[in-house]
Parts: sequence; C-alpha cells; structure tokens
Amino acid sequence: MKKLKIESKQKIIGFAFVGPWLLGFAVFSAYPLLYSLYMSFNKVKVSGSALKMEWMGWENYNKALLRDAEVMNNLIKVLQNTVIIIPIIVVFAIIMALLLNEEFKGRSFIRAVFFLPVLLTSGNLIESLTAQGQGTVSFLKSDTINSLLANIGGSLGETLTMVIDSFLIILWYSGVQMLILIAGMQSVNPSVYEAATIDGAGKWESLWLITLPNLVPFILLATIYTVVDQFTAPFNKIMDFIMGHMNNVKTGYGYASAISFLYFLLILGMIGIVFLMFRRSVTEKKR
Amino acid sequence: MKKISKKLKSIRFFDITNLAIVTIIALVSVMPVIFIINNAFKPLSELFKYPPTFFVRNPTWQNFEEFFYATGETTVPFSRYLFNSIFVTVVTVFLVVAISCTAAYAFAKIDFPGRDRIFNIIVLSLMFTPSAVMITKYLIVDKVGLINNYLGHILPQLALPVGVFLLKQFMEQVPDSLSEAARLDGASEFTVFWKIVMPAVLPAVGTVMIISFQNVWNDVTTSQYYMLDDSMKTLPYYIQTLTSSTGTTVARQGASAAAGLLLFLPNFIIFAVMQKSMLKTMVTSGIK
Repeated sequence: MKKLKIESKQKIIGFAFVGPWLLGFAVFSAYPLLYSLYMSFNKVKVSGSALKMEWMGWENYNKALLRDAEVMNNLIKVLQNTVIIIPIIVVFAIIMALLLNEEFKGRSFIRAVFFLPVLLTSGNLIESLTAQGQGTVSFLKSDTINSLLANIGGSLGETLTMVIDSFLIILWYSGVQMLILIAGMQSVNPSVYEAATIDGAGKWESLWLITLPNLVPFILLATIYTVVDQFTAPFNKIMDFIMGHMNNVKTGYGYASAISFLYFLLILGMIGIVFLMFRRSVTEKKR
Repeated sequence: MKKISKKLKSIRFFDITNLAIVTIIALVSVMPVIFIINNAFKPLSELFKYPPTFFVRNPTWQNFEEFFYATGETTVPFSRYLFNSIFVTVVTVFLVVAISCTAAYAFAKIDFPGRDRIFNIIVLSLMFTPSAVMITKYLIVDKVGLINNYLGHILPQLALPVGVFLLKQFMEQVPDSLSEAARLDGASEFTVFWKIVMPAVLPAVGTVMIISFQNVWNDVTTSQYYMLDDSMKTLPYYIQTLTSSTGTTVARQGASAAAGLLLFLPNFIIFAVMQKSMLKTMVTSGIK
C-alpha cells in the first residue's frame, strides 16, 4: 500500500517536472507536425485567409517518388554531400576536443577562438561570407590571401586555398560538438586518471583506456547532433526546394509537406545507422 | 634517472606540438571574424572592390555614422528594436534553460509512465526540418492569439528539443547512487535536482544557454511571420531590412557592414562569459 503511494507520487512529480516543456512542445511542435502530416495527404488551397483541403490519399507521395525526378535528384545530392562531411566533422571535433582539454597556457582564450566561427554561422553574417550560400568562402579570393598563396607557388597555393576553404566549413560546423565533447571529458572523475598514472599508465594508454571509452555516449551525442545539424542546415538545397514548392500555387503546401516528410524519413534512416554503429561498439566493449 | 628525463622530454614535445597545431587552427578559424571587423571599417570604394580586399586600407567610421543615421530615419525608434530584442532574448533564454533542465531531469532520473515513449518523440522531432512546419505553426500562433504579442516571440521557441536532449544525456552520467542516497536521507525530489544533479551538469547548462541564445538573438522568423506591427519586431529583422532594401542601391551597404559587426558583438560577449563559468565548474569539480 505504501509502495503504491510512493509510485503515484513519483508519477505526479515526474509530470510536474516535464509539464511546462511538454506543453510548449505539444502546442508549438507536435501539433503543427501532425497538422502538416495531414496536409501532406491533401491538396491545400489558400482562399483568402482560409485554407481549403482536398483529400488526395497517397497522391503527393506518389508524385514525389515516381514522377518528379527533381525530388530524387535533390535528395541524393544532399545525401552525398552530408555523408562525407559527417564523419570528418565528428573525428575533427574529437581530436580538437582532446587537444583543447590538455593543460596549456592560454587554453581558455584559444577555446573561445575556436567557438567564434559557430557564432557566425547562426547569424545572417554567414551569407555575406559565403558566395551565394553554396559553402565556399568568398573572402579567400581576396587579394591579400591570393598574393600570400601565390608566393607559396602555383599548384601548392591552390591546394592550400582548397584545404583552408573546406577546413573553414568543417570548423564552422564542429563548434557545438567540441563543446559537447569537452563537457563530456570534464564529467570523467579526475581521480580515475590519478589512479591510472599511479598504476603506471602513460598519456597514450589513459587516452585509449579511460578517455575514449568514457566518451562513447558523448561521441554518439555529437554524431547525432552533426547529422541533424547538417541535414537541416539553412543553405541545404532541399530546403530551398521545399520552400519553392510551398510558395508554388500549382503544387502548394500539401506537396511541400509530403517532400519534407520523405526527407524526414531519410534523416531518420541516417540516425538509425548511427545508432546501429554505436550499439556494436558498446557491446564489443562489454565483452 | 635517464628514463625519467626521457619521459619529461616526450611530454614537453607533446605539449609543444599540441600548442602549435591548436594555434594554427585557431588562426584559420579566426579569419572570418577578422574579415568582418575589417569590413565594417572599409569605405564604400573598398567594399565594392573586386577581387575583395581582406584587410582594410583606409579605415573609417563612416559606416557606423551611416548606420546611426539610418536608424534615425526609421518610423520606429531604433531603441525600440533594441529593447524588443534584449527583452525577448533574456526572457526566452531564461525560460528555455529552466524548463529544459527540469524536463531533462525527469527524463533522466524520475521513473514515470510513458517516459521513454515521450523522449523518443522528442528525438524524432529534433530531426524535423523547421521549414516544414512553418505554415502550420503560424496557424497555431494565430489561433492562440499571439500575433503582435511579445509572447509570440517567446512561447513558440521555448520547447527546444536540443536542450532537453543534451541535458538528459549529461544527467544520465550522474551516478544514480548519489540521488538514491539523498532520497533515502529524506531529500525532496527538487532538492535532489537542484543540489545534486544540476551542479554536476553545469557545463552542459552553459552549452544549452549558448545554443538557445544563438537561436533567439539571431532569429528573424518570429518577427517576420508573427509580428505585423513594426514596433514589435526585433533588431536582426531591422538589420535584415537594411540589407535587403539595398539590393538595388549602393547607399546602405556600408551601414549594413557596420550593423553586422554590432549584431555579432553580443554573441561574442555571451560566449566569453559562459566560457568562463564553464571553466569555473571544471575547477570546482576538480577540488571535490
């Protein structure tokens, strides 16, 4: 009897803690999502201030998958771009987090410097930095940099420009992941390292035997963040494509919703793959 | 004895290469910022030069003067935009952090029915493209009556899935034995949350604060779609109109370069402050 009371008390407390968040989520995220899922099965017409719906069944999806070649082309293009960059960003973030977690003079200053580009990506500033939002960095074509690289020599200079260019993109999108990983490293109890040092473990051994295994959940977290971040980045081509259909009177909001749900399934698949990969590494560790 | 000196040497070598790599990468990553700062001080003739110059040749305050002149011309006083932005950002970030922490605590540490199912839905929603729900979200905001209301800036941004997701993951790493022991000693659920779990995840709280600040401070969508009255819109929106209205004219390009730098500064300050507090938590947890 007493136990039951405790359990129901837990229930109430649990919901009290989640409640405010859940309410906001239900009203401003879940409901709009379900609403647009419903719309994806309709032809949506705007007449005045009201929306008119006409049930179409799977027609929007059929069209997107079978008849509209542009949808598939765009999905494949986005997939190609992101699949390459995701592991690069994650590995880069891990390496940088490890380096930044070391003790050295001016560490906090350098950490702040690393996070600067992230502050830029979220504003409209990035638009002025990237040429037409296509992910190349416009100011690398500026004379100072060019002459600097020209001094180094033709092909080497060109490769250097390319390297710095893609490097900046990676840096821009790995800041939050670095923060997650650094915070993760800090959650490891320092006495574990002390004990390992006393037992004669070097830096390299404690990296592989303590830091990385403890970091696995945070690496998973960083990877998921990267996948979501990359797939929903505002300059992603599929976004423009969806927006285009939204404003297109012929296809309209119903079709745009159908495409975004297909895109959502693609992202879901990617996250699924990430989880499978990490599940394997976790079970291996347990053995 | 020889062995020890060898070890010392290898450590020093490691540190030096480490520092060198980090410094080089930091230099590259700071390039865009230097570019933006330089841009703000360029006279028009340099802003429109092709190929663009990286460093400013003849720095001037002209762009800033022009920017402040432009702000004097608007029908809505500039201070109003500034107030709107600061008010909305402060309230939203505070509320986001508060409700994300409590929700994450419940997901990580309290066993209530449907917990895992609800959390899975959150993770799913994380992956949804924001543009897909733009119109339906507008319909809701309209229906609830938040058009032209400060709450229209605030409420739709509160349930930030990333925040709960990050915090829950960190809170799970706090050993259950600690909270169990406190509960046995008669501590209330809120005490466990506030005194035991929260101090342990402060770095993650800092991260969530930074992310939500970025989201809110730079956001133009709520101003664009939910606020029809100009006096309710925020600073980034105003600066965007400054840029877009210059599409055909050259006149305000300088002003928008200056505005870009000014808009960026708060981002930088917030990060610098949060970064410091994150380091502090690391130090205190080390003492324990």
